[in-house]
Amino acid sequence: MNLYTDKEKREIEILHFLKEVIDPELEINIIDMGLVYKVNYDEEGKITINLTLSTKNCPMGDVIINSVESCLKRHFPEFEIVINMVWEPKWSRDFLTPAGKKELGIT
Amino acid sequence: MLKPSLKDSFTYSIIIAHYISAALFFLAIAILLIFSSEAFIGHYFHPKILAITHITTLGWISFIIIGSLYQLVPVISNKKIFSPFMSLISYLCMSTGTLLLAFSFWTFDTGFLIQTAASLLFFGTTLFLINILLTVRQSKENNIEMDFIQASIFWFWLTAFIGALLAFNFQYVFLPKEHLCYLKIHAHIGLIGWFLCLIIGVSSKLIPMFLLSGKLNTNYLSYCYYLVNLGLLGFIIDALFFNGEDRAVGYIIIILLGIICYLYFISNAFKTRARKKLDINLKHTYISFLFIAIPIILWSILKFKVIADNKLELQIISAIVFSLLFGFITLLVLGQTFKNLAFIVWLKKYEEISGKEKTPLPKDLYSEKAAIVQLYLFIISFVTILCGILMSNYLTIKLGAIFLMMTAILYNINVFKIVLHKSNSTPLF
Repeated sequence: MNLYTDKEKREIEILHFLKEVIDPELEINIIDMGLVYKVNYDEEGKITINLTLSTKNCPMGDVIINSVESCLKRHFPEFEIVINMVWEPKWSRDFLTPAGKKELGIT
Repeated sequence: MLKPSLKDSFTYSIIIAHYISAALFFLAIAILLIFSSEAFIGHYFHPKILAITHITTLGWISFIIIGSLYQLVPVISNKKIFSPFMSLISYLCMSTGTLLLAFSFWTFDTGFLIQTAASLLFFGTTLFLINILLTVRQSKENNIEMDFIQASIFWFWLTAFIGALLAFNFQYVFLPKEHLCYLKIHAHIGLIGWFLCLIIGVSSKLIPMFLLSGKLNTNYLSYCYYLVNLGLLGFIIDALFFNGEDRAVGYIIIILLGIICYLYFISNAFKTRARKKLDINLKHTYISFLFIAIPIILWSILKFKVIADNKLELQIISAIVFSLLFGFITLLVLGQTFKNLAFIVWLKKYEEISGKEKTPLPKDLYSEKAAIVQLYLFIISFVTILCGILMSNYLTIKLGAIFLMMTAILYNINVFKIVLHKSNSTPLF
């Protein structure tokens, strides 16, 4: 039995690729930081990412956004990449994955 | 984002020039301290103490702060610096003014030289004030951190204005009150209005951001803003127009209440932080906040007449100023330099290629080991000099100054390692 549709498999794959994007200050990938709120894979040739930052004035904001775009362009060269910055819900430590919490020293 | 200012290479160069000048001034302070430790066991109105104090407040601390502001104001206001050219002229006036002022104090030349220095500093400060205010005015962002920054820059300008009046008063004696009365006002505005307000404004933005703190109540910052600024304003007006020397304690208590509000905000930032592991820069910051207690305790001993020894009272006044400038502010600056400067250089070198190529991290731009040794050396030097001042023992001060010089050398090595960093990236796959 196939648990996931092809679209869902692609979205999981995208989440996996996005682990390559590291916050240079915190040295944690953006998935474990919980910065990616939503991934949408459109077979017509478009990938949409809903992304947040730990704070609106994050000095590394542009670097993270550019890195997400570069990462997805590398894996999906034919696709249009759309990144939406979202501020609701506001990022909090609750969004960290267990791996992210471990990296930050939260027990 | 940092893009507005750092995309502009001219502004970037000015920021770097401020950091390099500050590092060299820091080294100069340590060297001058070794050769003038005897001066610290007498009255604080000593030419060599005045020279070292002004290099510390202007060349070292203010230059780092101004360099950081040219980076931070565009981040908070989301606007470019109004005029990078004005920043350059301001930098040239202030660096030349600081050197001349230090030299004229050291040689106690109270004529043309000190007047030129004070005029250059006042002109440079005025340009800086105008430039920042015009930058902020373009922005629609309005927050308490920006209020603190704007207030602090106004106080900085007023400090320079009173300083210039004092410089001319040496020769022409036109001020109606005693020189020392204005000197006290000049020192209080500089320490509380400029340094304290600015540190509160900048740190209340940066520290929660670096620590990934939870939701914080900024009302405490607003209480702090009014208490500190109104306390300082009351102190100045009372001292200038109503001979309010005796009431100074009351105003200082109002300011201390404001500081307590700020410390409560910062302690909440540390308590609610998601980032439990503190890097070496945040350790510097953490310890500097613990060190605030030292000048407060010393001030309480002085004001509540715990001791009755005139000589010791003078030493305590010197120790209060020293512990504020070094124990708190310098330690904070030492830690934040590597955080901010490494960011600035890293963004300049790697922002465009980040994600496309494998790049070093900001922390790879400096030696963390050197920063750790620097922290220990600094704490040893601070404690040694403080004991030397309180015990009126110049050999102890000299020993502490040698440790301070070692700290400054390590600091300079790391600063130059960062600013001279060559781009070093490799293909991702």
